[in-house]
Amino acid sequence: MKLEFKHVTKTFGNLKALDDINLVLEDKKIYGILGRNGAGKTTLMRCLAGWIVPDEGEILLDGKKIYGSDELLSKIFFMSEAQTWPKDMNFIEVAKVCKDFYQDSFNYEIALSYASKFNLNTKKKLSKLSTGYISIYKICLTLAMDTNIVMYDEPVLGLDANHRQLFYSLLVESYTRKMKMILISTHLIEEVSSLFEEVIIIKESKVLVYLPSEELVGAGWSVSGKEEMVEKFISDKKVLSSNSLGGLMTSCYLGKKGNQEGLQFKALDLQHLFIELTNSKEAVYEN
Amino acid sequence: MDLDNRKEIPIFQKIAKELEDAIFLGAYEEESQIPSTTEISMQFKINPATVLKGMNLLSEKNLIYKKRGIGMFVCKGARKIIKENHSNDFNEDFVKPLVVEAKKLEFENERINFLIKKEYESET
Repeated sequence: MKLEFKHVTKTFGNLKALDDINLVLEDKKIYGILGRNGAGKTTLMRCLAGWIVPDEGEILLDGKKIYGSDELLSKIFFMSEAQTWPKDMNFIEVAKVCKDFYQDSFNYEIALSYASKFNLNTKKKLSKLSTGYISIYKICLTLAMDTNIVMYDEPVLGLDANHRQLFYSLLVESYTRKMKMILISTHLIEEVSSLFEEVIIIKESKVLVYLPSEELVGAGWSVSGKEEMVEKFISDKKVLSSNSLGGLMTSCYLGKKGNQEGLQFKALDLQHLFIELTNSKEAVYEN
Repeated sequence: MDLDNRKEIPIFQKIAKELEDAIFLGAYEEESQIPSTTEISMQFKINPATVLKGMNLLSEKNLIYKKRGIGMFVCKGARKIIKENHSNDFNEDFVKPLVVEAKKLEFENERINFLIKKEYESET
C-alpha cells in the first residue's frame, strides 16, 4: 500500500496550515512526524483521516483518491489529540462500538488486555478520567487497531515516564502483530526516536526533512574550542547556531565530523538536530 | 543489556555489538537460540527493521544463523571468531588512542611501557 500526498494545501482563514505538501509513504513502516507547535502536523493527520479536506491537492492510497471513498477511509485510523469519544461512555462501551464498526480490524480482547496493563478503570466514564488516563484510554483503543494506516497525534500527553515506556513497548507489539503503516507525532523526540524508520520534519507548513532516521545519525555535529579556531573550522560549513562562553566557542553545523587537534566534536542526536533545524530562520537542510 | 549511548553510532551497530558481547560472555551459548527480533525491539523500544539489520550484521560475520521457522541461533565456533576479531582490532581500538594521549602529555616510551607493565601485574 502506497500513500501519496500531492500538492496538499490547506488554509484556515488567512493562515496557511499546509503549504504544497508532497510526500510518498510506504506500507509497513513507522514514521515520526516532528514539528514545533503550529507547524502543521495535526492538520496533515486530519487531512489524511478525512476529517478535513484540503483546499488544493490530493491524497492517494494506491493511486486512488481517499476523499469520498468510505472503503479507503476505513483503512485509516486516527488517534486525535482532541477528544472524540462521547464523554459519558466507559472504555468497555467504546471498545464494543469499535468492534462493531471496525470488525476484524479491531482486536477487542487486546484492547482490554492493554487497558489492564495500564491499570485503566474500564468502567469509569471518560469524563471522570484524569488527563493521563484519557490518553491511555485512547492509546489502548488505537494499539488494538489493525487498519492499514494508524496515526497517533501526541499519544503520550500527560503520561508518566513508566507509562510512556510501556506504550513504546506495546507499540512495537502492535506493529509486529500485524505490520501496518504507523505515523506518530510527538514533542518527546529523544525517547521515541529509535522507533522511527523514517523521520518527517515539518516547519512552517512545509516539509523540511524527509529521511530514513539512520541517515540523521551523525548528520549534525557540535564543535567547541578556542574562538578563532572554531570560526576558521566553520567558515565553509552550514552553521545552525553558535554561542560563546568566555573564550570557548561552540557551533552546531551540518556535515561530517572534523578531526582538527584542539577542537572537540560531539554528534547531535535527533532532538538536538531538530531544535537547531527548526530554530534557525533559514531552512538549510538539503537531501 | 544496555546500549552504547554514543550518538554518532547507528543503532543497528549498537544492537550487533551488544549481541556479540553477550555471545562472547557466554550468556548466549553456541548452538543456542538468541532472543527474537520482536523481543529485542520491545525491550529496547527500537524499530524491528533496525534490530533485523543488526542481526544481519552478525549473520554476515558467521556468528549467528537462521533455523527456518524457529529463529536465530549462535554458530558453533562463534566465540573463537569474536576473540580473533577483537585481537585484530586491539591495536586500533586500544593501543593507538593510548599512544596518542601519551604523546600529547609528552610521555617517553619507557614511561608508557612502565605504566603498562605495572597495570598488567596489578591486574593479575
